[in-house]
Amino acid sequence: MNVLKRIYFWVDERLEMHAYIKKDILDKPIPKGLNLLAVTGSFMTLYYVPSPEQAYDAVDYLTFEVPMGQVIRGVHHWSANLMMVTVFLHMIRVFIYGAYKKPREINWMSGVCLLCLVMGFGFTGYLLPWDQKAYWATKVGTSVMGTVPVVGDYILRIMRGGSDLGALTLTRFYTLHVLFLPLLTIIFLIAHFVMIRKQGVSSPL
Amino acid sequence: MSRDSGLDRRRFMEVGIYTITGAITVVSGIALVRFAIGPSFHPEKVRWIEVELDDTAGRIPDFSRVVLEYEKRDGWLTASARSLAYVMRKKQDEVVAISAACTHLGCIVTWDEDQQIFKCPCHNGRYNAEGEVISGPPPKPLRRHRTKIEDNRILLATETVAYGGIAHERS
Repeated sequence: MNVLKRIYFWVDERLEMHAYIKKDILDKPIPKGLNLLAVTGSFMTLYYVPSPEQAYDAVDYLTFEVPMGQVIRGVHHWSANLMMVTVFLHMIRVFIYGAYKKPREINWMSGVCLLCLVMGFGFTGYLLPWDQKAYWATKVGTSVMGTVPVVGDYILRIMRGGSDLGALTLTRFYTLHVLFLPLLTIIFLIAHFVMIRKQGVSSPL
Repeated sequence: MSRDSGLDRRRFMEVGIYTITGAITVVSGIALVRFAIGPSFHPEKVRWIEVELDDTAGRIPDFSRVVLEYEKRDGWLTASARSLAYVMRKKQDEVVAISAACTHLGCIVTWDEDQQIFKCPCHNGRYNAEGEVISGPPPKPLRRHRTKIEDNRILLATETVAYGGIAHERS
């Protein structure tokens, strides 16, 4: 028996996870895997600085001068795009199958929250490279929020951290992107998965 | 046939999936580790800086206290760097530059003219005029800047080498 196996059995003897991992996690029809974004994102925070003076140069540095920079940032970029597509495909499938109907309405609602969170990730992450595209996209995006009747100006100011887009906007978007949105997403994901385990998948997969 | 070898379809798929997953994990793991290590081991660019000897250190002619000020890359920023060296002329074409950074914890040593030694103010490390340890905690002699003389101009490298390394370069 080799060392790895012995360590595995030593841990398993105490935690008794083997049967659980085998049957309850790996053998289920819906795998949990959206780690690409979390992992590449975490690693990029090694180099990123959310400051108007430095953000662009830091991103340029981490992309072109750090080994594997283009790969890591590329994976983050394309996974983000793929994530949006996948989320919509998932939603369409659930809609066509009628899987949102009783008793699964609550799970549909948590799914809508997750959709909003994913779009929040996309919106806040887009600003972080602090290039022309990022700046003007956020300018337009927050201006659109400003057109909401009555509360529009409040939303705009809260999003930008003031009337103008600048350092305050960048830091709050960064914090949302790497701290608050991930936390909320984890909470909603757990709820989403717990409900699917409890209620089962509605139709043949 | 496959029943005999004990590799049925289910087992084949399992092994295949584990192999592919393992390969992906290893490859992306290597990429992530490379990324995380990043520029940690990139060699620093050596620059040569011209200095003037002005006898500021002691009574010996051409023994000078020289401040090297230069810019260096700090990730995506440019930072200003500063280091202090004691430079003395040994012969017409030989100059020695002793780094003033104590080899114990990097405090700046000062030249004691009366005792003809370098003293570290932090933990009382003492070195002789060649930078060799006399007493105190320093584990190694003072490091040296590489030097070279071109057309009577004295140039110091920003990089230091251990004493015993290349202390002088003829051009």
